[in-house]
Amino acid sequence: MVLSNKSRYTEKTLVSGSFFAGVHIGFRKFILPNLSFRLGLLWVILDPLLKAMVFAFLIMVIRGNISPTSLIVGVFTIGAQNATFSRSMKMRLSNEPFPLTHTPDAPLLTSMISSELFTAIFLGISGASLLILVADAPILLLPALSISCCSLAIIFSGSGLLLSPINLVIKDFGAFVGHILRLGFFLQCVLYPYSMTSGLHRSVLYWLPHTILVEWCRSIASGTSSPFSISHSLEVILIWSIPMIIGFVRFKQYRWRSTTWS
Amino acid sequence: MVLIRVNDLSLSYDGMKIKSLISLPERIRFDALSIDSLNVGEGEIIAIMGHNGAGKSTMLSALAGKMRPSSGEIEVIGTVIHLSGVNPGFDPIFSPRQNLKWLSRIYGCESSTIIPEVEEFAEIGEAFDRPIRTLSGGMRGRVGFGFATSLNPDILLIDEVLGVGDPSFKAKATTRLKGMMKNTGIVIMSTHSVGLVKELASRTVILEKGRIIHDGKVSVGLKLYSEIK
Repeated sequence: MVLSNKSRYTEKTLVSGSFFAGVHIGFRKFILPNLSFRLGLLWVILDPLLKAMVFAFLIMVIRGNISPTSLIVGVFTIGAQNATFSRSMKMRLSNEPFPLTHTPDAPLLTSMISSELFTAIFLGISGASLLILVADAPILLLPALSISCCSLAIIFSGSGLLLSPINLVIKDFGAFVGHILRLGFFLQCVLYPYSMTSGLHRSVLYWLPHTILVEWCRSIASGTSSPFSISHSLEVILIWSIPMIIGFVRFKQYRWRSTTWS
Repeated sequence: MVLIRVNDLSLSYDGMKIKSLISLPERIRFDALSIDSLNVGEGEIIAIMGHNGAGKSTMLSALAGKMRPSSGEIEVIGTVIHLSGVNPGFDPIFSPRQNLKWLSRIYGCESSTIIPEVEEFAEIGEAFDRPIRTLSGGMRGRVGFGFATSLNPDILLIDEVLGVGDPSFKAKATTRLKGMMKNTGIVIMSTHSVGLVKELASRTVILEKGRIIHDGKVSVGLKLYSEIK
């Protein structure tokens, strides 16, 4: 182990550095918050299902004539995106989960990604199941919504990491971003479809991964074709993968920097 | 090979100081550690002494790879265990037995040998199968200390952890720690206990305001420590 201001090179550690250890820790992070409830693991499914019901009911009351399928797909995808981004940005990188020794980066990063993926998969499955049962949505929505939630979760967990060093030093930053995310709920295609937008708003939405994925799910649910071509969709996902990759690659450096106040 | 090598190390804390409830916080900086050179080889048991705030805990945290130096370099060869508390990463909703099973996997040791060993050492009876959150601080300390001292690191960094439990347990913990120290390549302990230093240390390092003012013989170090105390 060589430690300097610029880098922390860890050669040997007692804490397991394997990929599977990371997935195991991630699975626990996903499961554990539910185990303190009476219904235990049932909450893994119940929580997103109830969330879907509440949002569907609430928004139907507010908007009246909008399709519940469109709303639920919008709410679940934006939920996967914003919650993941917020968690990554506010992640306490200096924390050592196993404080007797330094925990290597690989299992921590794997655990972070895998717990977000588990959450996104369950979010997707719950939302799609509800729509299949209640709104007669096609069964294809089940993998589509899960894939969309997972893609957004991965992209925004990496991008959120990019902002974590700033948020660590200037906590006000996280508070501002929180409000921007809340505003994003109304500015992105959650409560309305992409076809209802125009002008600059439409141009910005055209380059957001949420728009691409939510409209893909909506097109599957309604049996129509997506307003975006495959090449454009891939282009947007690739562009947004850049900050994600930088965030993941710099994870080690961010962790090291966050271990002092300087 | 097991070794620790420190070169031109400095470590500072930056933070915010709140002057009053109605003013904006201002930035402060505190230089916690400044070490020109420190080399530790296999078989050494080093006692780090100094009054509160001298930089002992910061130094051990830096050696454990938990704190980023402001400048300089630390080279550590060997697996490190840093006993700075007695919580190896417990989940409060699980029992000590369940936690130890999980932690054994994480720390890469055999749960079938560790669990009976820790259970016997901790002596907390049926509480060993109760959720950790229902255990008293002392009970948690016994389990945590038992687990931490059952690991086999190359380098052991001890930061005043013998404050756990009642006097009989403290005596038991000291014996166990001594046993662990004998099987470890390098031991660096931060302590105020002159008796422990006399008994175990092969070298003393005295810190004053983050700087090493003595690195060498135990007798000289203890004399200096009594003067600055």
